[in-house]
Amino acid sequence: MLNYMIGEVYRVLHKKSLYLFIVGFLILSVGAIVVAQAAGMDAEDLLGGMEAIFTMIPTIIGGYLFSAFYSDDLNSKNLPTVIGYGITRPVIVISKLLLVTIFAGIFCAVLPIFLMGVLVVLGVAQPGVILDIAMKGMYALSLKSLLEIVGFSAVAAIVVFGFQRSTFGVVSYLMLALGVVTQIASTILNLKFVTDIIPGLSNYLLTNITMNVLMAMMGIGQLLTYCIQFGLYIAVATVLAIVAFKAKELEF
Amino acid sequence: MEILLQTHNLTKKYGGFTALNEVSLNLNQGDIYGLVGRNGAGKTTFFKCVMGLAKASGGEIEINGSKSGLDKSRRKIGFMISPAFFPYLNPRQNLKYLCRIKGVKAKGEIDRLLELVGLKGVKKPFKAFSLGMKQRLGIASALLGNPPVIILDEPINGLDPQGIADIRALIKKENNENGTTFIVSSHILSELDLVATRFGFIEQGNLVEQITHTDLHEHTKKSLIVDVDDGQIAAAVLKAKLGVEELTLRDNRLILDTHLDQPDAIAKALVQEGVALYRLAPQETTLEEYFMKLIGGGKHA
Repeated sequence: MLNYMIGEVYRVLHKKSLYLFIVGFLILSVGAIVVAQAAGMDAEDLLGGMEAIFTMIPTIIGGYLFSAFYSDDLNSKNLPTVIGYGITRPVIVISKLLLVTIFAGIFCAVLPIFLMGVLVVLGVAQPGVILDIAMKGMYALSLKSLLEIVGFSAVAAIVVFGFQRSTFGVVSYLMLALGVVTQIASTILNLKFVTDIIPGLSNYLLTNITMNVLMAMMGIGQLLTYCIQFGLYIAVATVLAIVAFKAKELEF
Repeated sequence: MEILLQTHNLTKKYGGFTALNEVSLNLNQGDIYGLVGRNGAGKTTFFKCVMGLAKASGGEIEINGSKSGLDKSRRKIGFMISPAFFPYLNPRQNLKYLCRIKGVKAKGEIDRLLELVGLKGVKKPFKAFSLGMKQRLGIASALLGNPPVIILDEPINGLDPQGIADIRALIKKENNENGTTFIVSSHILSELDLVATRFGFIEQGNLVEQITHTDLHEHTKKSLIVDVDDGQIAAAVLKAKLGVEELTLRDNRLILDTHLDQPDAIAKALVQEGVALYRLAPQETTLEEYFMKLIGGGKHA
């Protein structure tokens, strides 16, 4: 498993687009701050506006990482090689999720520091108590983004391995990240005949659970409960992805 | 002789279609085994099942004498079923990726392989490769880590004559110098004939025959067919006059494997002794004809 993960890290680090994507995202973020500052937004507004940047992470950064780790193998038809080398399907599914988690985790850990640095350099905020509070808030948002990336990747992996079509996988991920699936699922789960049978099911949608985790970190709700719910999501999705992968003949 | 790979009644079905039908094949250490069959005969399916890329519907696979722990055993098999690499990585990077996955740590291994397949110094990414270059990189990946057994599925597809000769030489070199065992598939029997030591003929999922190179050539060697009125007398005449010691006599037909370059002398000797000569003609069964006879059809191998 470690060999496979090391190989995958080597491969993704040799993708030029990885660096272009990250640098592009950071430049856009800085650009947004500069424009907002020029438009006369004060420090408080700007700090509040940071949330918009974090809401884009699951779609843009998560989407890229998902594509890099899950789709490249399918597009290049490399999966048969890996399996022929004796790497089992469960190892592939679990490794990919771990790698997305690690890469997204690093990005989400660095982004708040970077943004704060930009705010300080631009003179929008000065080191002090307000900045410390803002930093904590950003890390909470960053963690929420990370959980969404991991959760959406785990769920979309079922489609990737079940159909072995990269387009299906990426579209599924983006529909999850853009909230399309959540909206549809919420609508269905809030229908009267559904709520009559099992009320409150929409609370268990992945997006709501990650929001609950964020709120719990702010002191509202039981963090452990929501973490367990999130963990179950990942576990069930991973098992389903493995089952789907095993059931489907490899595409050459 | 040690058997490295063996299948027992290996069967693969896709719905109602039987792609492999109870194939029992054995690969001995040191073999260059040529798996011959038409397109769609089941060669690639056989390899897929052996490598665990397709789940067999029936039968068993034995690697190094063991039917269990196949995932681990497969790590000692190099293979190229269809050359698939990451398009944005160059050949060195693609091989490095595979080295890491396979856990190959031997220093200089990548340089050795790139030189072996003629890709040393190539910096362009895989997406810019010609078909021949892709095949070469595929073969390099199969050789990665010096596996004792290597599976090559249609390795000469898309190669120019020089490329075909290079691959042939490479297989022979690895077999002679490192004792690597190969199983190579192709639908071009004449090409495999130049390199293989054993053959397996597959048709519509059935392994029709396994045969050594020597035996195959016994079946396909040149001979002279002589039809006469009295085979016994003709045989005696040829022995006395031309020293023909070995011939096959079937009714009044003599089949000679020697004196192929003396049809005029044979005719003269027989006619002089009063033997009525009805036919004197050379005969040769080509490899293709032999294969077609085996599969019972007139389609090309």
